[in-house]
Amino acid sequence: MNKVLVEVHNLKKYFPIRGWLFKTVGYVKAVDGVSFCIGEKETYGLIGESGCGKTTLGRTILRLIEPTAGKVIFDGTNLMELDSRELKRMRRYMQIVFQNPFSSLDPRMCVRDIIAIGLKAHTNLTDQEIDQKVLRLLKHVGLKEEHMWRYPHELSGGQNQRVAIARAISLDPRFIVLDEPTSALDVSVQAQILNLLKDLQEKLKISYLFISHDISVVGYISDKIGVMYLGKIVEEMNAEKIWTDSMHPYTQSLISAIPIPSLEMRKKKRIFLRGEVPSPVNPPSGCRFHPRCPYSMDVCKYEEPKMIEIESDHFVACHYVTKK
Amino acid sequence: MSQNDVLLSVRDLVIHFVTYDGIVKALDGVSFDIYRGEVFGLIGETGCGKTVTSLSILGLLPENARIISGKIFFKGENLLENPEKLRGIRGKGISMIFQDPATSLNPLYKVGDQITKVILTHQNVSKEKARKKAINLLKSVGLPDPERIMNFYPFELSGGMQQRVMIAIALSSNPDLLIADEPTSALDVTVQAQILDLLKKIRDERNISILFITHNFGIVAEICDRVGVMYAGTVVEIGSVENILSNPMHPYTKGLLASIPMPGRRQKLAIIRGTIPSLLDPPPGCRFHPRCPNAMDICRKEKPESVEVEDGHFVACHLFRRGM
Repeated sequence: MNKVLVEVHNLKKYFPIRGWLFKTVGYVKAVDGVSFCIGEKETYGLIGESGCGKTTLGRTILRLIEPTAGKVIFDGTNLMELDSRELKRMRRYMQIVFQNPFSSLDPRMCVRDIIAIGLKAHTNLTDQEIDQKVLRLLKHVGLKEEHMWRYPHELSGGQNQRVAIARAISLDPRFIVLDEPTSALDVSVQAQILNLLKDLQEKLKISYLFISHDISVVGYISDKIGVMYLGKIVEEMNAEKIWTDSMHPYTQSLISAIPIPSLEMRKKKRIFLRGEVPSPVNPPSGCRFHPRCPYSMDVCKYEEPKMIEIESDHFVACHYVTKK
Repeated sequence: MSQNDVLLSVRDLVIHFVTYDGIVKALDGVSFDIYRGEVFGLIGETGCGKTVTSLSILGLLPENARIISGKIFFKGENLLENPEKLRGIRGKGISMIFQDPATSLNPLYKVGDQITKVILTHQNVSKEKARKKAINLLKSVGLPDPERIMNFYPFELSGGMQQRVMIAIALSSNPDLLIADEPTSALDVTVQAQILDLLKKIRDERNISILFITHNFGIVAEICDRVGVMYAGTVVEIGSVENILSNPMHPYTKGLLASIPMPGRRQKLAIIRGTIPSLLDPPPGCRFHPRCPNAMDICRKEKPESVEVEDGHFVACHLFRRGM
């Protein structure tokens, strides 16, 4: 395995729910004790359904949201202990690309200014040097010189996402959080962006945290995959094995629920989950998945399962799996 | 299948939109048939005209749309010639469910009132009977405790439950054709699997036809019997799902299928170069030619005709010209 670049230890983010006179009446436990590592030049894929806390997790790691508890160690430095000046210095090494390029790019700025914003904040380059650098970045992400002075509304979704990626790599970061970077795009454009991200990773040696709800996309781009359910990671494994060796009932049902464009897959048997994802305000006791789990046992109702290494690099948090 | 089994037949439909920027040539000769009791899929990327096609069937096009030419036959009658007839068919012979159930239900009325209203509009029954019917419908779409749900407001239901209510409303007057416009795109995969299963069950039990509009080839493989692939306002290929998935012929269908990440496939995704053309000024000849790897001279000049290459498998591409 590569050297570890990002270590997340027991990270928690609780959002308070305010009631009468702003008194806290409860918490939304969006991220509830998550730990994992991302190696250098590695892609860690995070999948889960809406509301499972995957976006909050991505943002909390970068301290775009302040965590409630836990540590994030980036290349030996605990990000949670940094003051705002030190954090700003670290920011150039950690970037983020958001889901919807139309809302993450300022509509009043032209492409050149959007990409240059980080360069202006972190370097002393002259305007001319910035122009040259922006041009190089545009070529890196497959855009042309003519796009430099355009505005986001003049570009397509895929082109805008390329601009967002150019902005993210402008300061030679070592780590990028990709928060559903292709969910707003058509499949043919999605393929272009996924290939671009893979190429850039090879050229620039960046680590990615790839957040998505689409298991095929995550399975394609990631080295390791973490499956999240209601604020917790329930299974972690090598991406290559996810289609064949997954063990947690939730992962298996996610895999069986995803429609796949092939004729053989048409005949496969479905695992249907009962109901929908419960609210993270009052998550179920014990294993959070037990009310929907087809294998739920008594122990699942009151005891929370621990992450256990089933085989090398394959962790599962499930009573049913460990009992077998 | 004989000609008698054709329920809906769209012939050479040409629709333009008048906008400030010019005339958007949204549909350029769209033709397809839907047989009784089948699920027909229309697949394509953003802006290819699949939603415009479905709206034109129900006469729900926005004001700036102009139907230039074409015919839409429903049970042998041309809907475009008898707009007053359409009133009786809309919601009764043909009904529709939309992508986002949260915006298609009225937030101010109870779910039960919204269903009974539709029943009372289309059927000559007493209020009491309409209510009973509504409860039965809610039960038939798999909602637990339907009598209680009758008194719920839409916001009290989850996305999956709202979509079930929409389906119940659409089924209330026993339509022959159900148009489903991306009915699961706003839902999570596990819930999507439930809704797809429900639609399949409904088709089997009631023997109705479904026009299923989607951008996801996986869903097509899951639920459709036959499928039409749309690109930039034209149908480029029509065939059974087996034909299209195992033997795609049009270069666009091939490219689209190759660009989808598949389980276990880790090599680089194939991509379709370029982007979707603007329909203000669509490419002459075959609309796909600027992106097509097999483009020939004739593709730039002449619009390809749809040719039956094998039984029930039609391709509109100059590579498969008649007599070649």
